[in-house]
Formats: sequence, C-alpha cells, structure tokens
Amino acid sequence: MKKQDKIFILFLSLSFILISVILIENVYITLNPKTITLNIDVNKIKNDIKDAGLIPYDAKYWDIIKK
Amino acid sequence: MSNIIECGLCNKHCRLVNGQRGDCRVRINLDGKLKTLVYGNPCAVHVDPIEKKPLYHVRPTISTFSIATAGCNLHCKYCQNWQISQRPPEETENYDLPPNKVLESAIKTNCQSIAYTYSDPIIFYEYMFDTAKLAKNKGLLNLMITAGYIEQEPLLALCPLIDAANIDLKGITEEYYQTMCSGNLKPVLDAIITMKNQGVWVELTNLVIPTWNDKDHDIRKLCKWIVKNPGPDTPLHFSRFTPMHKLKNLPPTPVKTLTRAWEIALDEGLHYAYVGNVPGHEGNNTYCPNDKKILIRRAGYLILENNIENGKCKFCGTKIPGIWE
Repeated sequence: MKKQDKIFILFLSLSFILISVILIENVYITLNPKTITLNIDVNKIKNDIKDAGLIPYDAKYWDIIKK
Repeated sequence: MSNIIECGLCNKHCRLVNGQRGDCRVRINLDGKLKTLVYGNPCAVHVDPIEKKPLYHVRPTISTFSIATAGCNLHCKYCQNWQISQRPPEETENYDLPPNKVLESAIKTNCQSIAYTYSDPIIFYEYMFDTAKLAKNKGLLNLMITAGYIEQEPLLALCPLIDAANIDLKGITEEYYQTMCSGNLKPVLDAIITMKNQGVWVELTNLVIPTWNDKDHDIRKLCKWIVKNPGPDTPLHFSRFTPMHKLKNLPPTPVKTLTRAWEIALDEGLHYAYVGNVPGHEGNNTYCPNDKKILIRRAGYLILENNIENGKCKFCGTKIPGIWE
C-alpha cells in the first residue's frame, strides 16, 4: 500500500469517528434534554403581593371571548 | 411541567410556570391559574382634555377620565411613561378604584368619556373590559390609547365596547419594532385594520425619533400603508420626541422634521395629518380636505375655533369623518 493511501484511510477513519461521536451526542441530547429548573418560591411571591396591597384577580379574558 | 400556563392575550404568548409573571409584569401564574395584579388598581388617574390623547376627531373639548395601571407588554426605549409602564405594580402607588368607582368618579368630574391610556390598556384588559361595559351603559364614550399589541380574539371581543382608539404606529419596519420596542410590527398593523373594520374610530400616532424613524422613505412608506389600508380619512399625528428613558442621548425632534413628515403625509394623500407636541404649529389645526379652510384651530389643547357643524365643513359642506355628536 502506498503511503498516500494509508494517509487517506487514516483521514477517512478519523472523519468517520468524528461524525459518529456527533451523531451519538445528538441522539443522547434528544433523549435526555437539558431542562432549566426554575426555583420559584411561590409562597414568598404571594406574601409580597399581599404586602403590596394587591389582590390577584382572575385574568378571565378567555371567558370574555367565549361569551 | 403540568402547571405551565400560556397567556394568549398578546402576541408574546408568555409561557408561565407557577409564580412566574409575563413580560408585562402584571399577569402571573398562581397555582395554575392566570391572574392579573392590577384589576381595580390604577396607578394614574387624571381628568384630561380629549385633545391630549390625541383624538382630534372625537367630540372636541370634552373631558376624559383617564386611567392606567403599572406594566406594559412592550418595552420601548423612548417610553414617555416609563415610570409606570416599565415597573411592576408593587413599585407604583396604586388607587383602589374598581370599575363602578371609575364610572362614579367620571360622572362626578363631568367627564363624558373614559380613556384607558398612559401605559398600555391591553395589559389591564379585564379591568378595561368591565369598566367599558358599565360606561357604555351610561352613555359615556370609551377611548383606548394603545400600541395595538394584542391578539385578534380578545381584540374582537373588546371592539364593540370601544368608541375610539388612538393606536401608536411606532414605525413601519419589523426591525424597528424588534430593536426599539421588543415587539413585532405585524400584530399592530392587524390590530389597526381590525379595529377600523369593527367600527371603532381610529386615529394613529407616530412618534418621530431623530435618526431612528425620521427618514423620508420611512415616513412615506408609513403613509402609503395608511392610505392603502385603514384609508386616507384616518388621522395621523406626528408627535415630537423628547429625550426620555433609555434615549436621553438623542435631541428632541427638530420642528422642521415634523413639518416635513406632515407635508409628506399630505402629499401621499392623507386627508388629516397633524403635528403634535409643538404648540402653535400650523399642523395642529384640522383643515377641510376640499376647500383647505381651517375647520378646527387649536393652541395646544385649547380649541380656538370650530367650523364643523353636524359633522360637516360649514363652508363647503364636506363631510368630516369622526365622532362629532
């Protein structure tokens, strides 16, 4: 085998490995998506709203639309 | 997550987990229910002349009881009311004014109309809706001063209650809306057409900002769209920008720029173009599109002369569109 052919086969093998890694990583990310977990202290929010003198009221625009 | 709510009131469609607020700062997911924090809690309550809105073709000189709450669904860099529109309701001083009290106060102060204004009434939709219903029953006019950034369905439900609207057409390119206002142009154009088609009297305002939307071709494009869509009888107010909020680095709009914009609008076929925030400017008056005579002469918010009789030019009888009686 010529030296040039050996280099070409080596290059081809490396390309194959690289593409395989990318494919595996994509499949893994699709099956295990990263999620951002929001840590919201709802009770604190409710208390802050109450302390500010605000009364949450049903945002019922969809009921209005249906009428 | 199962308790995610999508608010479909405006075109942002905020998806909210429990305890999270929308982009408007006033609509919140609490235990899986969408709530508003500003119902019956306006932070601005004033009696204004209708000319201040501006609504130049709606019963000149009447007083309007104006209310606004904290928050807004757009975040314009030049916002002239940013102290209330870009804050959550916890950071503003609020009144306890449920719809029936708004109506009582409007009647007590001799106002013939109620204006939902200053910030953007879309974010206090339910409060506006309930108040407008009561006002309509009592024969008061409902005026909406808005950026028109609302979904079609809630807008269609609201239209029968609204008599007149001044819609801010801030620019005429998507890029301008995205860069300057964190919104999109198309929903605004759709809202203008919908309100017009639903029989709401519509006037438009364009705040002319140096270097941003003051080019001749921008103004011409905006005017062409108005002539083609809501029509040439739609009044257009070019308003003067004053350095505010995040655009304090810019100078106020030169008067000659506003004059040029006014001339372009007339040249493009608009019948009623105005120049706002420049007292004494000739573009502050209403002219008859037929005989070019002055119909309403204004000085700021004052009416010095009114030559409209029964909705017509008293000199040539041309019908002037608007709500005059």
